[in-house]
Amino acid sequence: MSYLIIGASAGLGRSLAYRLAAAGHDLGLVSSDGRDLEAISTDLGARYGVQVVSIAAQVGGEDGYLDELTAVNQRLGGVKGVLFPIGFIFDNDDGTLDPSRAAFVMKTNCLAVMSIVARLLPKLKEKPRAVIVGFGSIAGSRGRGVNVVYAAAKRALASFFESLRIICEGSTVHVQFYVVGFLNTGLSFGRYTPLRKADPDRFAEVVVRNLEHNVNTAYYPFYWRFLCYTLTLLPWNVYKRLKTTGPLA
Amino acid sequence: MKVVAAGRMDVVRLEKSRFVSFDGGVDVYADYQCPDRYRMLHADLGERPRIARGAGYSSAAASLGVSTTIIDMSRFDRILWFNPAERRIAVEAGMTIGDLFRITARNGLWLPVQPGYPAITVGGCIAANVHGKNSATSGTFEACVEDILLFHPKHGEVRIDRTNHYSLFKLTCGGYGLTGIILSAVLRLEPLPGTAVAMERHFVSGCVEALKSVRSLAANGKSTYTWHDAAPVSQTFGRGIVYAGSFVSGDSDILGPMDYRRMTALSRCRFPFSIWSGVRTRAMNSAYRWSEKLQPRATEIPLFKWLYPFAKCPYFFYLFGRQGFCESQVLIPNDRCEGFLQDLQRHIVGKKAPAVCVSLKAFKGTQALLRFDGDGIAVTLFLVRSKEAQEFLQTLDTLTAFWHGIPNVIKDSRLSSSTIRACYPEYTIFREQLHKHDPSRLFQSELSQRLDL
Repeated sequence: MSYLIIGASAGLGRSLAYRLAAAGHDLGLVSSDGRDLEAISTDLGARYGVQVVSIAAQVGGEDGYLDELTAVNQRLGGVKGVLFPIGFIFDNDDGTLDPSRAAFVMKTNCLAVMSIVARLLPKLKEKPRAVIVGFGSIAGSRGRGVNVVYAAAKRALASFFESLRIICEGSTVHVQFYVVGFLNTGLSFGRYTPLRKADPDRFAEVVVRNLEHNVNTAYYPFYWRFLCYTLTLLPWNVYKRLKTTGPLA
Repeated sequence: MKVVAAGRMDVVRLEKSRFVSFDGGVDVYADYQCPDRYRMLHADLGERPRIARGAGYSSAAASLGVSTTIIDMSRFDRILWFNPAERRIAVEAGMTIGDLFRITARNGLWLPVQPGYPAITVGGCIAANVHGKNSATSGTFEACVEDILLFHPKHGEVRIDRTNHYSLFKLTCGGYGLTGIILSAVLRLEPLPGTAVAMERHFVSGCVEALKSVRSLAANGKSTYTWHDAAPVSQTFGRGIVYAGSFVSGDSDILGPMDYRRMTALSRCRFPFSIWSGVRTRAMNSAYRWSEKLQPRATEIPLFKWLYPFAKCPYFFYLFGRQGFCESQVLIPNDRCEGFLQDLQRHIVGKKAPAVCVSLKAFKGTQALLRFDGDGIAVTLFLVRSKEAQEFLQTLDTLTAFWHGIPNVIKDSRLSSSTIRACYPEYTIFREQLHKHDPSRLFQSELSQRLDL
C-alpha cells in the first residue's frame, strides 16, 4: 500500500512520512524544498526499506507538477491515500497582501489541494478502499486580524472537504478532515500562541492510526472543538475585541 | 502567475529558551533558531554571534552562550546516502550515534569510535573530536570522518577533507563548532567485530595498581577502562575495578533492546538536591563495588549496552541533582602517570574534595591544536558541584600543568584561558587559524568566550 503526501519536507508532513514509512508503506512525496525532499527520501529508504518517489514542486505556482503526480501514482501502483499537510503563511498577511502573494497563499493552502484531488479522485475511486485527508486550521473558524488570506483559504478548504465528503458518499473513498490547533512546527515557531503547541509527531501517529477508520471531521488537540464552537457563539461585539489576539494558526 | 516564495525568508524567527550545560555549570536564556530546512540555515542572521547545537551533552557550554543565537540542528538527522559495500555513509550533523548504530549494525557495520550516550550527535562528535571505548587502538572521531560539508555565511558551503581545505578540516575536527555549521559528513565504517562483548572484571586496591592492568590489557587490544572509588577517605580511595572487554559472536541480539528513555541536560537536573555527598557517596560506591563483586568475573553483554552504558542507567547523572557536577578529564603522559595519580590522591584526601569517582583509560595518538589527544592515560574525575570542588579543581589545573598533562576542553565548564594556554602548546596556532578563517568571529559560545578564542 502506498500514500501520497503533499507538503512532506517539514513539520507535520515530515512526521507523517516517517510514521507511514515505519508502517511499511511506499510513499510519494511532494514539496517545494528539493534538497530536503531528497534527504528525506533517502533517509526513509535507508531506515525502513520502503520505496519513496519524490517531486520537488511549488504547488502554489504552475500546475506542471500535476502530470508528474499522475506518473508517480502509476509508478506506485495507484496510491491508497492522499494526505495534504500543507500550509503557507506570509508574515505580513494582515489584509494588505499584494494580489500575487494573496493568490499564492490561496493556491498553496486551498486551490492546489482542489486541483490534486480533481486529478486523483477517479483513480482513488477504483481502489477497494481509499482515503483523502485534509488539514484545516482553527484560524478558519472565524474572521481575524492576522493571517487573513490564510484563514480565508483554510475556511474554503473546510467547505471543500465537506462537499468532497458528499461527493464520495457511497464510494470507496473516505474523506477525513482535521481542524488543527497550534502545532510545534516551523509555521508557528517564533510566534506567540496563547495555548501550548502540540507535538506534530504525536498528531501524525493519530492521523496514521485513523487512516483505517471512519473519521469525518476531527479537531487536534481535541479541546479545540469546544474552543472553536465557543468562538463561533461569541457575539460580534465581544469577538471583534479578540481579533488581534485570537487563534493564529 | 509566478511568485517566488520569498516571503518565507523575509523574517528569521527566533524564540527564547533556557539552555543548561550538561554539568549544570552554565545556565542561560538565549535566542534560538530551530531550522528544519536547508534554506533556513542560510537565512541572514546579520552579524549576531551564533553557534550550532547538537544534543547538548557536553559538560562545557560549547553550544550555548548568553549573547549567542543557538541554531538547533536536531532536525538535520537524515541519512544522505549509505553504501554498505564501500563501508561509507553520509549523514547530516544532527544524526545521533545511536540511530547510526541501529542502521549500520543491520549491515554488519559500525563506527569504531563512539562516546557513551546514544543521543549524542555526529556533528557534536566531530566538533569535540570525541574518543570512544578504545582510544588506544581506534583513535579519536576524526579517524572515522572522510569529509565534512561546512557552512559559514561568509564562505558558503564548503566540502572539506584531507585533500581539499585540509587545514580547515583539521580545525573543524575538534574545533568546538567555531569554524561554522557542520551540515553533514561522510563517515568510514568498519565491520562489526562481534555481536557482544565479553567483559572481564579485575578488582584493584588503587589507581596506580590499575595502571599496570590498563596498559597490559590495552596493549592486548582489549577495550579497557577503570572505575575507582574517589571518596576522600585514605583507606578506601582508589579501590576499584578494571573492565576489559573483547568482542565475541555471542547470542546477544544486537538489534534487540535499543530503546532508552532519553536524558537531556534539563531533565538531568530535575532532582532538587544531590544524593552524592559525604557518607552517601562512600555507601553507594561500596554498594556498587560489592554488586560488581557478586557478578561472575566475566560476563557477556550486548553491544548496545556496552557502547552506551548510560543509556539504560543514567541515574549516575540524575543523582547529582539540580546543583550538577564537575567533571574533569586530563591526559597525562605515560611516564608521569604514577606521580600524577599519587598527587591526585593526596590532594583529594587532604582537601576532603567532594569527589565521587575516578576512571582511567589508555590513549594513543598525536596532540595538535586544542584536541584532547596524545599518548598517555586519560584520568576522569567526577565531583559534586560546590565551592570546595571549584577550589580543588584549581589545584588540579596546577597539577595537570606540572605533570605535563592536558585538560579536556569539552569536559570541563570552568577551565580558564590561562590554563589552556599553559597546557596546549598549539593554543595560539588554533586561535590564529580560527581568526583567519572567521575574522568577524560569527561563531561563538560560552566556551569560546571563556577561553578567549
